[in-house]
This record gives sequence, structure tokens and C-alpha cells, in this order.
Amino acid sequence: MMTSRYEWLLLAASLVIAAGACKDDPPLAANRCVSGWPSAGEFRPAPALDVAAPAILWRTRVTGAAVNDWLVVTDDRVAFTAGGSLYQLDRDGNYLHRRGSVGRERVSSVAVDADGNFYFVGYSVYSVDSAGEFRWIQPLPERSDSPGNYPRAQGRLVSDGRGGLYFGANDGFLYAAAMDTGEVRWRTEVTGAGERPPAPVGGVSHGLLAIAPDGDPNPQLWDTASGRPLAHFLGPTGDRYGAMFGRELGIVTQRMEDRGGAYPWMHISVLDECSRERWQVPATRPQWPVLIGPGEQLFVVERDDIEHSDTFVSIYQPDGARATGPVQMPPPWAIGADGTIYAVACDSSGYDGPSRLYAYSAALEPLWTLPLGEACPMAGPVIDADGRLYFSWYSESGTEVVAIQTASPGLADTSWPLRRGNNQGTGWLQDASGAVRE
Amino acid sequence: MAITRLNTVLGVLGILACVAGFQDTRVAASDAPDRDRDGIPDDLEERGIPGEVGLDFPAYGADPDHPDVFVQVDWVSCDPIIDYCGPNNSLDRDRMTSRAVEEMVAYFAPDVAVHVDNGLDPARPELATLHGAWGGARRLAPGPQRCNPDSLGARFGYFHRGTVAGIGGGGGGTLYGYCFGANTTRGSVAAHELGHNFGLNHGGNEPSYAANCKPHYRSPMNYAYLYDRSLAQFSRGERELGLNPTAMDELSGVGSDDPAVLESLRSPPWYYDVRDDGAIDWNRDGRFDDAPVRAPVTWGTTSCEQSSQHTDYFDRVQAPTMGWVDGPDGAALMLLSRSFPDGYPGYRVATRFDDCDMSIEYESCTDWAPGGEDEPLPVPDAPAGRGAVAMASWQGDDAAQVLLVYADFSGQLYEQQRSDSGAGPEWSVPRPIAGVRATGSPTLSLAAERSRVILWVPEDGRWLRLERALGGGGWSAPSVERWQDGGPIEPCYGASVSAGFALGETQEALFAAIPSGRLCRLEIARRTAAGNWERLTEQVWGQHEVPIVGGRPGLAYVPVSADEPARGRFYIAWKPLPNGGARIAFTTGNDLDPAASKLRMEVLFSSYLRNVWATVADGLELAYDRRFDDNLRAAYVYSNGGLQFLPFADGIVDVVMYDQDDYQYILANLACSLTATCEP
Repeated sequence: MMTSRYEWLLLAASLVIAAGACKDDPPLAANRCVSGWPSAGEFRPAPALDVAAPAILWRTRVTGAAVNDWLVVTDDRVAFTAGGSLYQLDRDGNYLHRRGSVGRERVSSVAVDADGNFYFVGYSVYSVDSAGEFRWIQPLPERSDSPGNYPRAQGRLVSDGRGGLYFGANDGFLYAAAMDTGEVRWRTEVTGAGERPPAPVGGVSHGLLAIAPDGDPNPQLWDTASGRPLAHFLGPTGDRYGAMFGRELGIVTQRMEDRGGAYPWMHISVLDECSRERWQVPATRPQWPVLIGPGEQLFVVERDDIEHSDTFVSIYQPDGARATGPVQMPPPWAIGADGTIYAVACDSSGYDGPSRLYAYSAALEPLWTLPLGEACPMAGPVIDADGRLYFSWYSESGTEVVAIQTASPGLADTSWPLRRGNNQGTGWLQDASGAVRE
Repeated sequence: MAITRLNTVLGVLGILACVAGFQDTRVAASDAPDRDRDGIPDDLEERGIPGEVGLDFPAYGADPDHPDVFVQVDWVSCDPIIDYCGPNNSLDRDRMTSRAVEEMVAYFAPDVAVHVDNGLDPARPELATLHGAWGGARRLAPGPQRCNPDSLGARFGYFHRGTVAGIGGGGGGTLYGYCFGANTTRGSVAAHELGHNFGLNHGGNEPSYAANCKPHYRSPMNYAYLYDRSLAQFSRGERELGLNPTAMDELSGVGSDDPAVLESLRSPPWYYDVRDDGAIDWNRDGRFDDAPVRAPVTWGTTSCEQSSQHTDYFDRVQAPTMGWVDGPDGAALMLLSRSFPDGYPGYRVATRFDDCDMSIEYESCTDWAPGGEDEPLPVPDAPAGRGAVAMASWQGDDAAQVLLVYADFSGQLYEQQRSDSGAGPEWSVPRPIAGVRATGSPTLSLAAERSRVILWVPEDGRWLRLERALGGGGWSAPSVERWQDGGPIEPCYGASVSAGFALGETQEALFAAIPSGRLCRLEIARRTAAGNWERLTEQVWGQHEVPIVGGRPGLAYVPVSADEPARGRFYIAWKPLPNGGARIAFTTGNDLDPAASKLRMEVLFSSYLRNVWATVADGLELAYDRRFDDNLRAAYVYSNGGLQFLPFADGIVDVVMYDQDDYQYILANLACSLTATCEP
């Protein structure tokens, strides 16, 4: 089936796909390039902060499970969604504000803009200011297949920094909404209602990356202005799914091979801005991409497919050559502005710990280890300019946010220094200068 | 076979679609000796089934002389393409944790020994018969899951089957079946859902009156105690006291002075005022009464379903309003609605709400005429339209009068009056009301001196007021209603107006729930003698977020007791914007002094009117009239045009509720639940 669809795609004539395309529209004929790809810059590590020793600063418990897997941080606070509410904590872990969704519905992750306004979505698109007040609330349009009922979004929300918010909902549509009003700009049916909704990963320039394993066909790059598909990462053996973007690397994709074990065998392919394959790392054992570090090097975790096996890291240069590894170390988690690589290890496969935080030099030399406690981090991390690394975990039937003092003055200015791309939860690749290119 | 749902996991993720009632020839011989009556024949408990993987009962700790329950808990795979699967990126992130298994098992011990195949080797040797990787539990692909005998294979008839899918939701369990869905990390949720398999409801079982959130039923089946970490066992029925919401003994409390029990009643979800001697201020009026009081004892902040007893459902109607009519044959509650989707006004009436066996929680008890299967009576000659039909009633000189005001699709308002002197009701012809065009639902209320009727109309962002004499005549010119600061009131959808008392005042005033402003915040206000509206919003909502609503709200004033009409509280119901479960809140009292320590006019807490799944599509209606009624009544509609009537919206039902011994039901249904062949 995959082969025939692939052949059909190759043979298909050029198509005009209208804005707000529907699932019944013809699939994408040929991948299109993303213009305005951000320029690469040289990573210059910032001086480390004068910190005596890494330490746990505080743990703050919140009601409601943090079902979304990341936090955001601004100059003076950390924020996240949990239990249908947006929480804002100050840097010392004190509650600043809690603002619940109107219907107490589960909501998406949160993104924050340069002015400190927060965005999340459930039955409505919500914006909350730094005082904890709603700036606006914009209900999603009624479901076309069920008048009087409304779609609900959850999972990831990403933002392009130019006024667009993107999310998927349980009606199977991918949505774009305006950051100034929350009004829906376009929506495109990707999967059926009841299937796993499309999940935005991030974006670059005017290309939105959103994946939907249940979609068929399954384009993944979308034009942010029109909602038209731009690219389908179809490989010879099936769909590849975008994971992250690099300024020089391009689009890092992965395709999971089911070997029945506990860990994913990800065949990694790096594509250029036109979604053409540049190089690949076939899986010879479980592996997966995690970060893009200095020099546009791709960090890949490897391990044997045996539960609790040791983990290793290999680092690949932008041309695909293996630069380092495999080096035995825990999975990298974030890269600090001073070049420190943070890794986290957890002794269980799930939510129970114990867990430990490790710091490594850019040369992967161990610097220090910090026992974290009896749970396993499940959201984050983010790192603020004062070296506070925040994450959350699920402990004793509640969610806790935890702050760690490190010496890193923020995140490294690499393409993808942590799992969600940046501290703001936007998932959008910027120039090394921090600018978003048109 | 009912499937009970606790929270959203099953609905949202489609985890479990249990099929109950299936019988299979693989069931072990039912005549085989089974001394402990747990459904596992003695010889199997002693020897297992040689050659069958996953049925080595002795290795799992089976004891033929002690009831055992075996559970296989499968888990949904984490999808690393979409989700964060933890630092280890494990597809098995959501396998049920050892800690959760230990918690779950402890609820049943020592009466029943639960053994769990969760696909995870125990961390300590002493847990080897508690849980392990016994060859059956497995990872499931993401997506909808099914549960049937094939899900258990050779284990069908011997094992229960659970499915877990991570944190953030709840679960679901088949009543008297072998399937449940639960939570990866919460043992209490798993115990609750497995409890459903043994026939336990949220309030226990029928003989005890199985309402959720009975305060003296300390069981994980009870939503109020599900997350109470001081509770580690099912209820043993130790509290013999019966609780009747229509006659609560405040000095007896729950018949316990156990500090742990009393502390839990002071805590969420209850927030009761409890004395150390066990006395409880059941009706929350700030005093411990000697005489019995009316109190909604099952009302807590969680989804207690306190208002959902003896409900009625009417198909293909919308936009409910209600009011009492004092007719020649006695008083009756009139339920007005519009046909769905056409929009023609109609009505039905009821005089009794106890016309049933009240001890059966879900039985309909209201004597509707026409009945639920029939169409409502049409309002003669009324044009179709949208929005709620406003209603006011009074006793005229020689006939009971009902005035209706409603809009057609253009917003043109009509008035129509029904008169009943005992010879049968007579309707006037619909008469247009000039000078106003409704853009939301109109509301009617009687002026305090009961000589005039007042019409409140949302029109293009303004709230207009018209009035006329009860005896007839024309309507006054519309005037624009304003806040006390002079600003115009800008209602969304429509407002609800209720006469009520402020504590210490002898004259009734008009209070209103008005969704207004850019966000449609639910403002609460009182009309002043100067003819404007005093905002009470900040005071009423206090520490709570002011609701943002998606339809016309409901508002009603209800005295704490019939003897003291000026000492009462307000109930407020609303639909969240744009969707969500209908909500209801009540104020502790009606004292407008913000410094008041008792009976303050401030919302104590809000809860679902029915439950989280009762998503409303339109406005909500609350009705109370102390002249004719003791209870608060409520109605709302679903998006499919179905109308739900809640005769005991205040949760005060004349039944006696008891604690119960859960273990007797668990033990009685151990064997039959394995094959879903119980006879409740």
C-alpha cells in the first residue's frame, strides 16, 4: 500500500490545493521548498555563572496533572498548563496566578510571546496576560459534523512569532489562529474525528510542522499563511515524521520500526529545506534524535533493546559524518548557554524514579551529578538567564515543578537546544540572531 | 450493562470499549470445588494449569481457602513520534507502576487478595505474589481498545482485565464485568474501577441508596473520597446512621467523633463546619440547629452528581423556562420550551415530584402532563422563533394568569396570556410588542408590590426594561438599564432575574445574573431603589474565578428554611463558553456585608449540575417559588435538542441514605464478574 501510494504521488500531476483544504482534496503532488530558511551562526559560549554548586532550589506542588510535556519561562516566571489551568509561578516557586479554562476542559501546552502574554487552547483559544487576566477568549467554530458541539484542542500549541498560533483538535483538523484575537485563520482536515489529532511540532519560516500518524495521506509541512500542504516526508519504506529543525542541518525526521522491544528504533533522515534527503542514520539498535548542539551537530541517543540497558550518545556533523560516539552517558536533555550539556537519567521506564541530573562539558566530559529524587522528570526542562533549570514530574499522585540552580545563563543559541526547541514553547526555529525570518 | 465512567480518559482517548455479558465455553467447570468462592476452582489455585502460560496460580500466591482476584493490566504504548516518553524514551512509560499496584491491592486486603500481572517485575521479593510480569500483560498500540474474552485469551474466566493509559485522566469499569480502564499511577482509581466490576456504584448499592458523595460512605467508590489519601480501604459499613436530606440532624453529624472522619468533612470536597463533638452544620447556615434541617448532604466540589436524581429527559425540545402557576386545581410547575429544531413554543405541567419509588435513584418521579413520550402542548398560534420563552404568573381577580413573552426569528417580541378560572385555560392571541427587538432571551418578573410585570430585553448590546400593569394595558417605553456607576449594562444571551432578600431587609429586591461585557463574565447584581444595578460580582464570586458563560444563566433565591424567608441563599447555574458541563454554585447566604462571618453572600464552591459529560447547548433555567415548592428545580438542553429536567437540583431528596459494607458485594460477585454473568 505504501509503495503504490508513493508511486501515485510521483506520477500525479501538479495540483492546486485550496486554502482550507479538506481531507477529500487530492494529496500533495510534489514537495515544495520552505523559503526564508534561517541563517546559521557560530555558537559562542557565554561565561558560566558564578554558582557554588548545583542544587535543588524548590519544589512546588500544583493541583491537576501536567499532561502536557513542557514548560515555558520568561524573565521573571515559569508557566505551564495542568488540570485545565494555566499556572504562573515566580522564580522562587510561589504562585502568581492560576487561570482556568472556562469549561474546565483539558487544554494544550502554553506558549508565551515577547510581551509576556500566554496562549493556550481548549474549547477556545485563550490569551492570558502576566497579571493572570484573560486578554481574550475565542471559541473554536462549531463542528461541521456535529452542529452545536465544539472541537477541543489539546496537546501541543506552537507559535510562529509573527502572529500565528497552531494546534490540532479532536475533530481531526489542524488549526491556525491569530495571536491578537484568537480568531481562526484557517483549518484543514488531517485526520478523522476520534483519531489521534494532528500534533504540531514546530515550524520554520512559513512552514508549520504538524504530524498525524493516523492521517492518510499524511503531509507534514504546511504553509502557515494558507494551510496548504507543503511537503510529505514519504520515504521508500513509509512515512517519516519531523522531529526538529536545524539552521544548517535542515529537517530532522524519524521513522519508527517496530521491533517489539521497549525502545524505539528510529531511522533518522535529515532533509533539506525542500524535503529532499541529505543523509540518514539507519537504526541498528534503538536510537532517536534529541538535540541540535553547537556546530549544528545532531545528538542521537542509542541503546540496546533491553530494558534498563545503558544509554549512549552519538554526535553527527551537519554533513552526516559521526563526530563523536557512541559515548556512554544519559540522554541529553538541554544545552546551556555556556555550552554545558544537561542529561537526565531515570531508573524506571515510567513515572517513578529515582532520577539524576548530569552536567557534561561540550566534549562530553562529566562535570557533576545531582540526585533529583524519587520521581522521573516528565516535562521540561527550560533554563532562565539566571541559570535556573525548571522541570516537572509526577510524584505522590501530584504534579510538582522543580527548580535547579545551574551555572548556565540561559539556553544555548543553537538550533534546537532542548526537546521543545526554546524556552517560550513556540517550537519555531529562529535565526541565530533570534529573529524570525519572513 | 451499564458502563460507569469516572473521568475523561475513556471518552477522550477511547481506551476501553468493554463488552460485558459474553459467555464462553472456556470458563472453567463451574461445578468444580471452590471453597473460597472466588471463581477459581481449588485445584487450579493449588496446581495451576500445566502448560498454559500465565495461569500458574500457585506462583501468583493463590490460596484455595482465601478469596483471590487476578488482574491483568495492559498498557497503551507511549508514541515517541508524538509524545514525550520520558528520559528513557520507553514505549512502556505508561505501564502500571509498582506503587500504584500496591495501593490498589491494599484497598481489597485482607478480605480479598489481589494479584496483578502488570508486566513489571517487582522491585522487592516480598511483592512477588502481589504483581509481576507473568506472561499475559502486554503493551497495546495507541488508539481505541476493546475488551472481550479474546483480550484475555486462556485467562478469560480467571482474570479481570485492566487497561491503563498514563496520567491525566480517570478510568472506567464495567458493572458486574471483568473489564476496566484505570490510571498508570493512581492505585485508588484502579481500585475504584475494579470495584465497579464487583457491582459497586459510586454510592454503593441500591439498599443503601446509591447516590454519589454520601458523606458517611467512606469508600474509594465515592468521588468525594477517591483521592483521599487517608482512606486505604473500601467501606465496611461502620456508620449505621441514616441520612435524609429533608431532615438532617446537625447534632448527630455522621454519627462519629473520629477526628480523621471529622477532618475529612471539614476538607475538600465538603468544607463543612464541623464541631469536635461531631456536630455538623449540614445546611451551612452558620449554626448548629436542634431541629432537623433540609440540607444537600451529597453536595461537594467534585463531580458529585448531587442534582441528578430522579431526572426526566424530553426529546426534541429546546430553550427551557419554568415557573409555578396557581390554578384552580392547585399549583403546578409549568415547563416551557420550544420545539427542536423548528422553534415553536410549547409547555407541559407537573404537580408531583415524588410519584415513584424514591429509593430508586434514577427513577422518574414527576407526573408530567403531557408525559415524556408525548409532544408538549402547543402555545396556540404562537409563531416560531428562538430564545427562551419568558414567563410570569399571578392570581388575578377571578383566574390564574400566565403571561408569556417570546421572540420570533427576527427578534420581534410577542406577548400572550393564559387565563384559567376553572373552566379550562383560555389563551389570548399573540400580540406584538412595539418598540423593542430582542437580540437575546427576554425575562419577566413581577414588581415587588405585585401590581406590575417587568419585561427585561437584551437588544443590541443594551438591556432594556419595559413594564405594564398586571391587569393589562400597554407596555411602557423601553428604558436602558445601567450599572450604579451609570455605565450601560451589556448583556450577552440574556439575563436571569429573581426576587430575593438581602439578610436583614424585610422587602424583597430584584437580583440578576447577567452575562455581560466583552468576555460575557457572569455578573451578579441587585437593583437599587434608585433604579440602577449594584454590582455584587466581586463579593459573590470571592476567591473564585468569575464564570465566563455561553448562554443564559439561571438564578434563584431559596430560603434556608421555610420559616425564615429572608434568611436564604442564591443558586446560580450557567453554561461555560462555548462548551462544557453545566455548572451550579450557591452562596453561603444572603448577607451583603463582606465582613460577615456567616451566611455571607459569597459562593462557597461550584460544581457540575449533573456531571462533566452533561455539556449544555443553550441557557439554563432554575425555578423556585416558596409559595408552592420546597425544592429548587432546574432544566437545560443538550445540543441534540434533548431537554433534561432536574427536579432536585438542590440535592434535597426525601430518602434515607446509608453507609454500606462494600466487601459483602465484592465477595458476592467475585466469581460471576469473571464471566460477566452476575445477576444484580
